[in-house]
Parts: sequence; C-alpha cells; structure tokens
Amino acid sequence: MALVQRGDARAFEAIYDRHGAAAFSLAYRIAGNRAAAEDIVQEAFLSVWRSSVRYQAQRGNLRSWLLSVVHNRAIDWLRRSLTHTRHEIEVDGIEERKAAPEFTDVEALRRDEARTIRSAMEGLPSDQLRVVELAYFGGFTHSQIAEMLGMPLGTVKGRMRLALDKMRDGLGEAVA
Amino acid sequence: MNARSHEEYKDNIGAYVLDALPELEAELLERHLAGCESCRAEVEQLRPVPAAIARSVPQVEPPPSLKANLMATVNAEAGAREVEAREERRRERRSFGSWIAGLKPRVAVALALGVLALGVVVGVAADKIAGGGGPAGTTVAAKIDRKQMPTGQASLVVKGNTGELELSDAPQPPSGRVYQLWYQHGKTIERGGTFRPRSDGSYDVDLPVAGANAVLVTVEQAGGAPAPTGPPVMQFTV
Repeated sequence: MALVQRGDARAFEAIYDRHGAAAFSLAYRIAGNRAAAEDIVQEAFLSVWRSSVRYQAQRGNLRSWLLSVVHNRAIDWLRRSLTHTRHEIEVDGIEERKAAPEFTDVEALRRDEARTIRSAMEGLPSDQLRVVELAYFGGFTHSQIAEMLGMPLGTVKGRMRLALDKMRDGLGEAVA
Repeated sequence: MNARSHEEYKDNIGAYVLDALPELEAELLERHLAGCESCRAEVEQLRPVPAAIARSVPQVEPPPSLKANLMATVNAEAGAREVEAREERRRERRSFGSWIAGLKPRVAVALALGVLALGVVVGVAADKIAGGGGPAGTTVAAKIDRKQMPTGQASLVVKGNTGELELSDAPQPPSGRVYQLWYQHGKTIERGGTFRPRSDGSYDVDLPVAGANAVLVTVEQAGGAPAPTGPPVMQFTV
C-alpha cells in the first residue's frame, strides 16, 4: 500500500486484482445493478489511488478497509439516489465468481469464511437481522428504519446492538 | 445542541458502527468518543462485525471493463505525474539558460500543429457548430470526426475563462488508450489532461480556456502524449 501511495500503478493493479471482485460484489449487493456497482468501485479505488482516503493499518486489514471505503461510497450513492427504495437483487443472472486457479486455496478459505458469516447472520432473530440489513445494505439511518417499521427508535437501536453483540460473540475469531 | 448523557451516547454505538447514524448524531458521538475510553472500547469491539458483513456477500465477477477503465485512468495519471516531473526537471535545466533545452518544445509544437492541420484537411466529417450566447455562456458544439467517434455528442459552454466540456453517449477509447485535451493559442499548442468517459458514455469537466482559440481532443496512449500523435476526434473553436 505504501507503493500505491507513492504512485506505483503496478502495485495498485495488484491490489485491484486481489480485492476488486469482493469490492464489486459488495457494491452490487448494495446498489442492485451492475452499472452503478461499476461506478461505485471505480470511484472508491480512484479515491484510494489519489490518496484522498488513507489506509491506517491499525484500523484493520487492507481488505476490510477497502471494503469499508466501497461501503461508504455505495451508501453515499444510495442516499443521493432519488429512487431510494428497497430493491430486490435479481439472483438470476448473477454469475457466481469462478475461482482463478492461482487463488484457489485463498478463494476456498474466503468462501468458507463468507458461509460462516452468512450462517451467523441467518442465526439472528429475524427482527434483528432486518434492522442490520436495512442499515448496512440499505443505507437507512436508525430513525428512517424506525419510521419504516413503525417502531420506537429505542427498539431499533436495541435490536442493532443485540445483533452486533451476537454476531461478535458467534463469530469469535472470524471477526477478530 | 443538547448535552447528552453517557448512556444516550452508548445506545447509539450499534447504529454508529453500522453507519446508520445521521451525520450530526455521528459527529456528536465522535466528540464523546474522544473523551470516553469505555465507549471507544465498545466501538473497537464491534467494528469488526460490519467488516465481516461486507465479506459475507455472494461473490460476483466484475466486468473486465471495470479494470480496463480504472487502470486507464490510473496509468494516465501516473504518466501525467511522470511528465510533470520531467517538465519540472526541464524547467530547472532551462533556468541555467540552455538555449537547446528551450528549442525542443517549439519543434514538438510545430510538428503537433502539422499533424492537427493534416487531420482537418484530410476530412473531418464535421458536425455543425451551434452557437448561442447570453448570461449562461456561449455553447459551442463539437466538430466530431465520425470515423474515429461514430456515436456520441459533445459540447463546450464557455463562461469567461472556463469552458464546461460535456460529453454524452461517447464510446470508450480503444483498450490502453485515452482521450487527451489540447489548447491551441495561435501557433502554439498546450498539452491538457487525459480522460475516459464514464460507463454510460457521459463525461463533464471544467477547462481553463482563457486565451485559447480552440480546444481539441485526440486519442493517445494511456498516460497521454507530449504532443498530438493523430488528427483530432473533436474540436471546438472558442
């Protein structure tokens, strides 16, 4: 990453090759369409290249940090969007990523990890999962969620907190 | 702005790590975090959870055009930084009064104008120039070489010293190549930046057109060229 911050285009390309698919997948999950996901990832990676956002190693690994940059951009995009309605992702036509041969082991580990995390999420009570998904993937604020679900703000905050605590405890080392 | 209790801030921590706090609330909590070790510890404990949620989504193959567009911009900017560094070194050499160092750019400009003039003479299938003045600026439509750019529209709105370039439905330049801007001032030509349109073919940028009598766009290698290497794809007479 230090090389990227010094303007090394090849180092930047290596980072894209390693994390671009995860970034695109997250942007696609949030935006719900490929063209928007492409713009979001491009904007996010260019902000990294232009050093307008800085990687701080002490705040977690590079992949998590890049995904948080993509998440912020995607949520900005959602909140800017005039048609900010709950969208359903069309599962048909989504091409599950084929593992590149050189990354087979790494890919397998990542898929296992994704499955473990998904299963921890699915293990949450449905009302807790709902508020987490509306916040993280929907880009809604806690008060918007309270209004949408017709419940007190305190209940939404409580459910968010309970869900996060359960996932933290359930995932243990997977999120360490 | 009401003062809040420690418990009220603590209740907002879950929404904060999920980025679900309105901006003002998030700022207030961040101020509280600066002075509250226990809340900071809770945030740090929960922060890995959203990072894990990000890694839980089904993996989808990105289109190859994403990397191609991204790297075209990155390579262009890396190239421009190199050119800038070289020009800086050249300026330093000039400061010693080397006449030869000063001659080279003039030769390049003469060659560049020759190439551009040739492009116009050999037949740019030009769209009509549309003009319109007024307080909103003067709109100048592009002369577009339809052999190089079969689709798309471009216009330049000149307001004082600034020109707002706007493209729609423009095709992407071929792989490894970018569009490059040039400013013509009489018999000299000044190098501008490079760009690629967005995925929907649109692009807009403000250009410094003060003193320029034409703005030209050519297709160049990613990273840009010190002088035009081919006829213009589009040109605007300012």
